[in-house]
Amino acid sequence: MKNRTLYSIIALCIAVMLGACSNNDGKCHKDLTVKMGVALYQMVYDANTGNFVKQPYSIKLTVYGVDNDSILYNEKEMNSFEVPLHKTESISQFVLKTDRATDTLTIFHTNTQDFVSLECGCKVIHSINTAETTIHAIDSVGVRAPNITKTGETNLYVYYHVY
Amino acid sequence: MSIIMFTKRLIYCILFSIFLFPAAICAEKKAKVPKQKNDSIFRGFSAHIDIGSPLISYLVDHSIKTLEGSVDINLLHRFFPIVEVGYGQADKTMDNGAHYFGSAPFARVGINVNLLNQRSDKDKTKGVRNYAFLGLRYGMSFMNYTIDNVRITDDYWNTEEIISYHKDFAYAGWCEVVGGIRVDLVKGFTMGWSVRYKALLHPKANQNEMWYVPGYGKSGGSVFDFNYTIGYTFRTNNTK
Repeated sequence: MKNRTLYSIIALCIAVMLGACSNNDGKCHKDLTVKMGVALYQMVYDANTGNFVKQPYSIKLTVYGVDNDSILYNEKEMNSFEVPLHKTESISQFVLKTDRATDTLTIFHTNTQDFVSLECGCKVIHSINTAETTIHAIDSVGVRAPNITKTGETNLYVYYHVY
Repeated sequence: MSIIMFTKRLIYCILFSIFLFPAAICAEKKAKVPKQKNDSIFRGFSAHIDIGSPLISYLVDHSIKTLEGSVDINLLHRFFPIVEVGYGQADKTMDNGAHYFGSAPFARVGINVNLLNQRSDKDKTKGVRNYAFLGLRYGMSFMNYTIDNVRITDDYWNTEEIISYHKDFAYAGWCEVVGGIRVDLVKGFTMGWSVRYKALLHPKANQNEMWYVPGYGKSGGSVFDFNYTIGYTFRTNNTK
């Protein structure tokens, strides 16, 4: 009888430890960041082949959201960048400013709320419907991957004029 | 005695022996067969209540309350089909303000197998009172849950949206492997403990929303659980 009681107490202690260790701390440990990746290119004429070739284009750029005081990139030399789209609205506009000219990039997108967990809440993922731009320094835009679910992926191509 | 007469008598003896021998054998068998005792398959049943999981749930997380009981029947002191029923509730507010409330009854059906050999003596068959077992369960629950005050905050564009989710009769099914012991205390009162390994099978689609599944636990938490039960065992007359 004494051994049974002892074994039962030991088993209960192990169980409480298992139960305590198994529970998470109630905090979110997942990355919910979702950003649209933009890559900059120029279409350069190749005299050897007689065709226009897409080449990465590095330029000093200032990027910020329209009607937003917070600058995302301030005169940074780069050939790609990432920007956050609106989580609650379906239109996001960004100013792309070079030494030569300033353009406005407009993204029309659909937002989908993806419930991750009670601790993390919701992650908003986007799907690009169309992309438009003014054509001062920029020549055109093209959608490479319309579904935006994370960071680190190129979703949009922006082609600059060749001067 | 002539040879013919001797031969006739020999044939008669052989024929007589052929007919008598089986009768003699049967008579001998009938004399040696003992009287068989009529042992039934059903050896009793037990009713238990779990006092371990409510205590552990409360100690680890005050927001979860659960209670369960079980009934199992004893077949040949080897197999114990079992039904476990209970009720679970979770009312939790997270650090980010999101609130979850879910509650439902649950049930598990399964079987335990006695891992120890059955003990018997000359007079009657007596099963072991204390035994270790291994078992399987299928658990199910139709639960209602509500998640509210989930904030979608846009730090760059300075907007915020609050959303909520609600679901009625959401089905959750899972399987368990159970191992434990059952110990006889005194006059039929028994206690036991078990450790369970669980795997959530359904649902898959909105599993993220089902933060707590009654009878299973937190859907994103540990797959191990512990039960400590006390109860009473009713045994049939031929096993007392």
